[in-house]
Amino acid sequence: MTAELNSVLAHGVGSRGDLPLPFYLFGIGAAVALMATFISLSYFWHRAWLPAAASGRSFGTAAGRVLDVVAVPARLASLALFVLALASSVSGAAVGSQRFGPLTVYVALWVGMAMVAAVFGDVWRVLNPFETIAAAIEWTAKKLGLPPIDDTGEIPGGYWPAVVALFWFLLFELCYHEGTTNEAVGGAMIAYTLGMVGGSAVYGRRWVRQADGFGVLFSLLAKMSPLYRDDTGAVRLRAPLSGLTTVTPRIDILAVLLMVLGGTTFDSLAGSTLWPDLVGTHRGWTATGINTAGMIVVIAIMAFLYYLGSLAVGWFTEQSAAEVARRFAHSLVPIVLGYTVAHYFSLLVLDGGQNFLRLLSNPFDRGSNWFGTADWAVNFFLVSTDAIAWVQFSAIVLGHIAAVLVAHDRAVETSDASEATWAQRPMLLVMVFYSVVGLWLLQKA
Amino acid sequence: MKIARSGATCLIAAIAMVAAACGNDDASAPPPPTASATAQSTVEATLGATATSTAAPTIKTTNTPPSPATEEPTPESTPAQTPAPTVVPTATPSTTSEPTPEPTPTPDVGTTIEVEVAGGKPVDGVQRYRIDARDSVTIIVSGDTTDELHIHGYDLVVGFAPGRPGTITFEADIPGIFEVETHHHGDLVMELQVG
Repeated sequence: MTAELNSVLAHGVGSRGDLPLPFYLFGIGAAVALMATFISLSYFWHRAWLPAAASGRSFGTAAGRVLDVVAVPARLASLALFVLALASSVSGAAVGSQRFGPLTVYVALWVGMAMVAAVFGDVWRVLNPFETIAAAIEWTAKKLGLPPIDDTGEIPGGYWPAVVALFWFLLFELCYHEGTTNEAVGGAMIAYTLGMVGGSAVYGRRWVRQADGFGVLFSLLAKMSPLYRDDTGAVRLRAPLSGLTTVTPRIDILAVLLMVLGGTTFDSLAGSTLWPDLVGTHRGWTATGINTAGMIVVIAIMAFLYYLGSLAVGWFTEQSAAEVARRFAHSLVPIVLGYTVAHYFSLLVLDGGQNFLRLLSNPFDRGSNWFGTADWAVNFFLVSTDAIAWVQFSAIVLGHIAAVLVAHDRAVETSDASEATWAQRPMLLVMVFYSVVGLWLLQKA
Repeated sequence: MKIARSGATCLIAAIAMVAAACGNDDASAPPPPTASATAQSTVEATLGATATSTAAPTIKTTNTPPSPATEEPTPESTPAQTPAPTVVPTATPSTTSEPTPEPTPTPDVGTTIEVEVAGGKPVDGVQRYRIDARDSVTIIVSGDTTDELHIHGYDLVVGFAPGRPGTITFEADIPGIFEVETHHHGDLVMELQVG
């Protein structure tokens, strides 16, 4: 029996692709984004208020303590899910054409957790099984009387290991022609775990904080959330997006964001009718090679455009391009979320998410029904195609509006609104280009 | 006023970008390289009498208001080899099929797609068929090897062998785009766009 081959259009594990966005939506979307941008920049936003809003209001430490209690079973449940997904992949189990391991990684983790993080904050920090494993290593080492690992400061390479980790993940998800098989996902999970455990053994738990690409990405998305916990553990409510002002302006953080942005854009391109027209249809290792080259080119284009925007802004503000690029890196976070929602929303709520819940009850295909979901049939009508189209369009447009607001807020920190509006024009054009390309690719789906 | 002016410049430049992107739509209108494969097309979509005006499996035109993309006749997109000159040329970039819509004697027969597979691959290249939601679809597949056609999403399988074409009829009740593959070769045979 030949393995189920991955689909070129439906993000690996999906069996369904979204319908093309109607053309008029595309036009309206671009127009709305432009108008909102124009109005907000020129008239309403004269001083930076997001940094002040970022600390927010405290719910008190009691809420934090409740969360700490809930966190323990949640952490264990997440670890159990991780082990289950790994075991299912290693066992090679498949229910029909569906496999639990790939669904867990590509749908529940990559799509589901990204959205959870953006809404509810850095939940992944608690759920991350590698954090749990690293904590267990630390505890064991202590019990064995080994000298404690120096856990202070940064790991060598900053966040670049996370960039590498994410690139590796994207290669599996979007490029490798067998990336959705149990063998690939199981092998990748083992390799990733070894990397996390090995690093933690040398550098301590800070390794997971900086080298786990998922963790770094989700913590960035969580900066958009109105919920966060401060240093005392108290739960605080802040204005949505205001947390983005606390993103450290660094080039490796920027690389994380551009990598994911480019990867998702490539996924959209590869799923569009443009891609086969461009490179033809290929299977096997040829497809892997072409996809890899294509993804690298798309990431490079997205990054280059951002660089050009930074260069031009820097020309107005008399700063270096790198300085500008770092300073406005946080404004890419809402765009990353917008792209993720636009491209993967239907996968999450339709076949991908529903199959994940279905197989959660029966991950080894042994007829089990642990949670009563094993008999579910995928309901493709849970959301209508119209609703999906509107979500896609709104996600792209709102993501870019948020990005422009956040960028403008930073720009007016150091110059008045008039100057800032003037200087930010090149970056606005980059954002417009990103949104137009995003919508255009969805229209070509 | 400087702010307003700079904003307006922005807007104009941005609109120009949008226009450029729309322009790309036209630019990509000439047929893709695979179009030539349809010259000896054995694929035909027979549409029922109840079929809507969008009978031709054009992809992009449903919701497209009169736009530059459809107004401009692109000579390249109607090459001499087009087997069905009666079909209104719609200059859609990705439609590589040139089906012959013909009224069938029996109504409610739905859409019939015939596809020929050689070595697991479709003889006429991968094409996308547009099907109205809840329409009845019949796929007739013939090939030079023993294999199965797998329709994703619907999770349907139909076997075929040399000299013994496979036929499957189903109601297209799940909206979306679905791949159809040969199971053993694992090659993409066609895409169904439902809705």
